[in-house]
Amino acid sequence: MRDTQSPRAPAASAPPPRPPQSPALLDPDFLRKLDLLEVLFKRNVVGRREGDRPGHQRGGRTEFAEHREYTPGDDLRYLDWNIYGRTDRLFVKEFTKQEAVLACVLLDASASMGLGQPRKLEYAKRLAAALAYLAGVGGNEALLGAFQGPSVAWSPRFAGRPDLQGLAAFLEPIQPAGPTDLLAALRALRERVHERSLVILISDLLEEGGGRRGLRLLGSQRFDLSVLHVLSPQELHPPAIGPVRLRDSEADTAEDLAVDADALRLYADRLNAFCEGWRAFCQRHDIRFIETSSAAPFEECVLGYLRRGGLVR
Amino acid sequence: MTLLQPLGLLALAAVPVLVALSLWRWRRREVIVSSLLLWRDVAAAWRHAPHARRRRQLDPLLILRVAVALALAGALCAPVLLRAARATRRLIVVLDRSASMATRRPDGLTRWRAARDELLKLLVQLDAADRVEFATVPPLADRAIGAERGPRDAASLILTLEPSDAAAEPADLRRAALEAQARQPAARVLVVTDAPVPGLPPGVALLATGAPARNLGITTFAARPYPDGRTEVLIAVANASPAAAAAQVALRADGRELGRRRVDVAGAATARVIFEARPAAAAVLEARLDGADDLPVDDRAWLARRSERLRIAWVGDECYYLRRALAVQDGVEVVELPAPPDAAVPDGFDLALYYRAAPRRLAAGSLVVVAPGAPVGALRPGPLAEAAPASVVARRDPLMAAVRLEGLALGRVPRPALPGGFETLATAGDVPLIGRWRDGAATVVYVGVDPASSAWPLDPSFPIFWANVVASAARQGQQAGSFGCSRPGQAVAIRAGPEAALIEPGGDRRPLTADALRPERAGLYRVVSGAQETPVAVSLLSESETRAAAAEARPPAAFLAATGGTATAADAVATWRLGGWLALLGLGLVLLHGGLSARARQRV
Repeated sequence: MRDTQSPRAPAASAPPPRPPQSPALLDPDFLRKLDLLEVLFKRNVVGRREGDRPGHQRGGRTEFAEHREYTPGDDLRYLDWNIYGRTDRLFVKEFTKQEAVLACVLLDASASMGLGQPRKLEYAKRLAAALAYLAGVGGNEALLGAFQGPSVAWSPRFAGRPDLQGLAAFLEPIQPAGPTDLLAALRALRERVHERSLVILISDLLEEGGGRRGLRLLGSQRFDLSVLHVLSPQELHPPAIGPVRLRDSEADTAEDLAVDADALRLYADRLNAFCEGWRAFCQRHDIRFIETSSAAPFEECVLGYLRRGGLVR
Repeated sequence: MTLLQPLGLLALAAVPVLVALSLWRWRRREVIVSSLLLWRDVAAAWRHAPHARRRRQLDPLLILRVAVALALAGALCAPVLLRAARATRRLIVVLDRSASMATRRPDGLTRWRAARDELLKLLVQLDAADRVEFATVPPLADRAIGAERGPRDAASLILTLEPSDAAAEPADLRRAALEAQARQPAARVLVVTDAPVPGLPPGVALLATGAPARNLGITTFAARPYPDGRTEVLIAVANASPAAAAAQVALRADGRELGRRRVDVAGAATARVIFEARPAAAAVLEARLDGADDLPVDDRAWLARRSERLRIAWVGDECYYLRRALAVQDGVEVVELPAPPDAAVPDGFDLALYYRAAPRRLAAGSLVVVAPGAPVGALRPGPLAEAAPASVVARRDPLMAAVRLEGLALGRVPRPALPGGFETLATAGDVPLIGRWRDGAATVVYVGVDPASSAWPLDPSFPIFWANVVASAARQGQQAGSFGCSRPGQAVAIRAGPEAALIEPGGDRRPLTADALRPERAGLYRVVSGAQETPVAVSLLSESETRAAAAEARPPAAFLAATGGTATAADAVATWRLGGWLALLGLGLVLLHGGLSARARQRV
């Protein structure tokens, strides 16, 4: 598996191709609303660095946890002399160690994400930026990864209130290309991230590989998993366009058929079954599963869907 | 439909090009989807679907493109819809406005009103493009209505018309119908009257609205003064009904009643009443029938005293009978001229009478030529032949009023070559006996019968005819004689100053702007000039109007069905130019195509 800093990064000599006109990743008004939210981490998430989130490990000096009877060897600096004065017994104060946990946002940048009106990838980029910002605002760390096929481009870790320019510098050059390989991307994440962190996968999930296998793998290692399923309105409600050759955006395969009312009924059945399968899988493995359309208003998605899905509060 | 620009059809060549392009595009039409993951089963189902479903379906956009091409090609051809199947119908209505049209029918309507209603029903069935023309008999005195107009205007016009008090002969209606037919051979002519009109040619329909009437009317009113101051007044009362009737006849002089008689009139007969009165210096005599009937206008008649004598110039041989017939006319002065004058009617005379003589040339004035023996203007007397039994043709003409020639032996009469516009009043077989024509400003009455060599002077119709001649000359010229009257619709010459005014029978007063008066209404008119007031009596005195019988009506709908369309080249007028509409349709289809294709692109 190949790690690249920026998939399909523009060559130094050529001017970077302008992405399609899209709204700014995060506008100031929306940021003010985001400041009122925070990412919800499950208890099993463990941070490696000291931060603002109360952790499971004892230690630190700021967050009081409980008193414990003195045993030889304890640090005398934590003896509670007030209790000793009242009870002639020695107790030491114990503190909970505060930690900063990691939120990994794994962004599907395959060719299929470049379709739709609005484009799914643009929508997904804004979601990724919002989630990274929310993680940073909560005193945690954020890590962004964009995958195309087996290769994943990683951003630097953003700690604390994130640098919006840094986020934009990573996200904006990303262009859709290549096939979708969820298993490879999740394996790459597992190799790169060693602590139990929050993993948010943003994808259209349109692949036949081992996406579910990868998620089961991370789940077994007590990662906190969330899946944001983004589809375009054209995928949710395709029009009857008559006889046509449908070509797969990621594979060199095509199907001839007539997209008529009968075909659309069958397509709707398949789509429902597909989504229902993912819903059931995620529920079974304690994975948050949030569905949205690239045509849904972005603020409504973040402030509504993500809150209802239990990813932010 | 006609194409003004047939070359525009070349634009239809775009249709196969469009279809070919569309098929070519269809073959290569490819849509990229995110993944075939969800479509694979759909495609498999389609592959295994029945053949009918897998057939190529028509692209709605292709249909729209073809429709746009057809619409634009149609617009380029500039098609026009011609009104070919339904041509303009032209209808000429000859409308009888005579006095009898005011006769009330048993249903309460007047014959005029019934005719008007029937005409309106007829006009409603015409199309807006149809044309209607009117001719009235007698003609309207104050305006011309001969122009063609649409049915709506025609209906408006009919509502403004009223019957006059004048008399009209069936011959007048027939003549008007013939003239209309000759003027517009493609038109259908409809004669609207109340009485039968014999001799109508094919293609001329009759709409008669007459009905049996209960009417008594004064048909003769004449006064003859005697030197001893007495005046003999003759009043004839005609009964139009087949049942006998009675009425009171009153005679008035200047509004004062001189006498009153009961008159009993047998069915369809005429009764005479003679009054002997002493009206002294009365200016106006009035006869009045008491009691209501279906036609009021003939229940009263007036005579006005003539203020001057009528001067007649006699040219030619002596004729005892003729001289006697003129001598009994009151207020007539006959002056015999020793030699033919230079002018047909010499100065100072109201009428010139040529007996066995002819004027050198015709000039302005009224003249009567009796057995001329030489050409008179364009009239050439022919060889003499034994006359067939005579008959009066124009009974309603004032010259022939109360004149009966039937059964008279008139001896030998010439067969003349007639001038243009000759109006035959009486005939002997097919030989014109009495007639009239105009030559410039001259009005000539021709009498082919020689009184000296026929039995006519022995018949009462002889003095009656010459009395009519004198009365007619008096009406056309000056008031002369003792008592006389004019007929409605005839011109009355008036001698009055520039400030003269006319007081109508109803009392309305208006300035008199012309030297001639052509009153449409019967009654007593008064011409006021300074301190002098001259009465002008206008009386109907028409037996034919009083007796106007009912004719069988022909429903207008049947007439209209028979009329049909009379298409002429001029009628084939383009009614709709479709080019603009087609261009507009094409533009609309282009916009629709743009919207649909953009929507399709957006969805895909």
